[in-house]
Amino acid sequence: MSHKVLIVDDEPNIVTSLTFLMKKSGFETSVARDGDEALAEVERFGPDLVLLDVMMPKRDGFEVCQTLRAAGQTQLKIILLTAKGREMEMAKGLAIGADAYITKPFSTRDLVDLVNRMLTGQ
Amino acid sequence: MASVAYVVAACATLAVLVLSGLTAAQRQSLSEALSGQIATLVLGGLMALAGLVVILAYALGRYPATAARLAADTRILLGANPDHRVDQSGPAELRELAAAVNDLAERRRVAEREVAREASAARADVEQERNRLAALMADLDVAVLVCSLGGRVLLYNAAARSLLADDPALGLGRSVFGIVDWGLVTHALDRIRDGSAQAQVSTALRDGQLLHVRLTPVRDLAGEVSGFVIVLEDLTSRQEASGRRDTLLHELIETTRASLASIRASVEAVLDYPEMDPEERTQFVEIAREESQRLGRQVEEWVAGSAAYLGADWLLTDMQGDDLLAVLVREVEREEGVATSVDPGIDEIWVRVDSHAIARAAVHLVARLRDRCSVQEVSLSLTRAGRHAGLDVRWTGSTPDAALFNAWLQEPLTGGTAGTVQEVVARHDGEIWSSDGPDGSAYVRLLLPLTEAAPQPGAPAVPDIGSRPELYDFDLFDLPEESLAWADRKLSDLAYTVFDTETTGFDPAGGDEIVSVGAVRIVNGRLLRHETFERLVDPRRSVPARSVAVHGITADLLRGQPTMDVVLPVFARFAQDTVLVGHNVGFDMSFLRLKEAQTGVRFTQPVLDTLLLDAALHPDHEQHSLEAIAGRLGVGVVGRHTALGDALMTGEVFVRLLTLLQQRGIQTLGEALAAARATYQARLDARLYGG
Repeated sequence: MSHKVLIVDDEPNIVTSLTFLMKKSGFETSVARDGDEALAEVERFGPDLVLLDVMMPKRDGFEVCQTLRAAGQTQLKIILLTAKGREMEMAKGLAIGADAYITKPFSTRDLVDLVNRMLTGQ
Repeated sequence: MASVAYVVAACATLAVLVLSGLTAAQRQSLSEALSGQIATLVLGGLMALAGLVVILAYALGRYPATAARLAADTRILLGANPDHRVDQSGPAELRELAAAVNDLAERRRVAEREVAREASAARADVEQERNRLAALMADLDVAVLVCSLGGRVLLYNAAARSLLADDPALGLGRSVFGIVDWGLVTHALDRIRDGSAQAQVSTALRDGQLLHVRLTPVRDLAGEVSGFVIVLEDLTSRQEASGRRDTLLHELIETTRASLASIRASVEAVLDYPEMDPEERTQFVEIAREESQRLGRQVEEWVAGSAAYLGADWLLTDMQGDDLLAVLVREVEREEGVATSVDPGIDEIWVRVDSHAIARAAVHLVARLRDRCSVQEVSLSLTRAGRHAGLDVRWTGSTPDAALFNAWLQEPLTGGTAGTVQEVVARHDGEIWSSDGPDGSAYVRLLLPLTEAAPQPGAPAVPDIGSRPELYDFDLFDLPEESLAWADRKLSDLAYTVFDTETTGFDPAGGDEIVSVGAVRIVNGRLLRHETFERLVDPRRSVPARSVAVHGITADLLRGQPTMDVVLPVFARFAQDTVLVGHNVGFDMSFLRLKEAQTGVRFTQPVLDTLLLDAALHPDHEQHSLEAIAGRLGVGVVGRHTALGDALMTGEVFVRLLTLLQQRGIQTLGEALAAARATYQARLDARLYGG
């Protein structure tokens, strides 16, 4: 059974690439366009890992992450993606329960490697 | 009764006098002559006596009347009319007295006029001072309010009236708390009692006007705070500009990174998966093109929009962590009645904050925690968190729901502070979140930027002065008449002569002399290594071995060299129309000044000191020796202790300092001199008061 990856971002262009990359890496994917959709999609789709953009309309990535953790989603892997890339944000992201924090732009290979490592534990 | 006795006594005396003037025979014939007409005589005597009594009564009666008039006249001139003079008629003695009274009155008049003249001169001085102050205040763009300790407005200027848009609450004798929030003034006064020289805070007025409030205490002779001066500045437009700039910048960063991420991901997908079908390939290439176009547009927009915006440090003050915590504890306890303690920090931390705004944010969050999470007790701490400072509010219990907490961040603050917690955090370029901590505790953490260097208020570091004593010449700062026009000229437009001297010792007044002068010119910000000046100078005295040990110039080398009378005019020509620059240049100038009278050469141009400029730019560094500065600025240390070598090194240092000065907004020579003067004063104070 392949792992499931939920991609949460409001920018369609990056979603296209991320979806392509995750599929090519053999994962099953789903997409959410904002924070509310993300919470619903976690319930419905049951992903093993979420690629979660920080800056989104409605609930931002931080709030989604914290809400998921507070709702008992402790096994779910969460990678925050952000274009802000300030050290302070990184500290905040890790403090509220994200597993990793990636600044845009990133190397697709590094991202694929990171996702693989987190899902297969290698 | 006394006057009757007086008359009788007078008649008896008259009789005795008449009788005593006669011989015995005359007395006999007189007695015979008289005895016949005794009755007539007695009657005549009585009539004469009566006449005498009348005359005497008249003469003597005038005394009390004249004296009474004299007294009345004296009272008039004493009170109602100082120019009144007493009547000098009447008995001679009283006339004398009246004259004396008039003399006294005249002297008093003169003295009074003198006092009045002095008083009016003094009043004119005060008036002039007041007019100067009024003119100064009227001329100021910033609004100034002078208040008593109780907050009564004693003085305000036109800018204040205009800034407060003719607010009827503004008026002499009225309370300033109708204009500026009471809590804010109290906050500022607390800060001052805690030892701050002045306090700066921001506040919001009606209609969303954001004011920067600077409060400086006025102290009485005993040093107690007796009132305060409030300087108000309207930051609304600056904040809007700064906010727009920040927004633009953040948008630029985010869209740039987002676009780059899309471009990079699509390009890497195409490259890494060559087997993808043509349709997918086209899609990725289209993404790359679309995103790169978006990127280009964004950069252009930013360039067009960012030019007018200013720096954003305007409303933040450097503050020590412990002080900030003390402020927060005080305000949280005072306002919300939540027991508040401080976990003492281990590190000495300095943060750049608007303490009032942070306090309002803390008060707001603690109030919400109390009301919504039943938090009764919190502890505050400020610790180093990587390269940031973490300000934590901790309590026993769990963190509020993320959405609820985020909603608290959007609520408007009370107590005269602009905006929301979120805006306060953004203004500090910080981040805030709430999370569960270990051991059943939870916390709100506000990450703040650490201040780069801890400022030492009022106690500038005592410098390493190298081998020379640091000499200051306050005249360095006062431009002579001829060079007044220098002050407004841009640092980048000026030509400089950087120079150094070697000497026989440290005491020019005690007979030490220059043995060598070296100099180099800087034009257009470039050190002209080929336009140098170097002379050995015959000091016409011995060269002590200890100074030879420093500069290596022996008496043999100096034999046959020109004396200062010859060298100084040549050097003056070399330095003509340029600003003189040296390291610890007061030392060199003290030698040159002593020669001015003797040689007729005067150095009227401005003088800049690299030591003072470096101290102004880097007050936190303790070392301002030429080597230390050179090391910091990446200037190689070569050729030390030859006049030209040191001049070249100082020149390299100065060229770099020029760049730094301009980066700090110090553009003109006048501004550079002012910065140096301020440093000079601080260093002088440090020496005088053992800082």
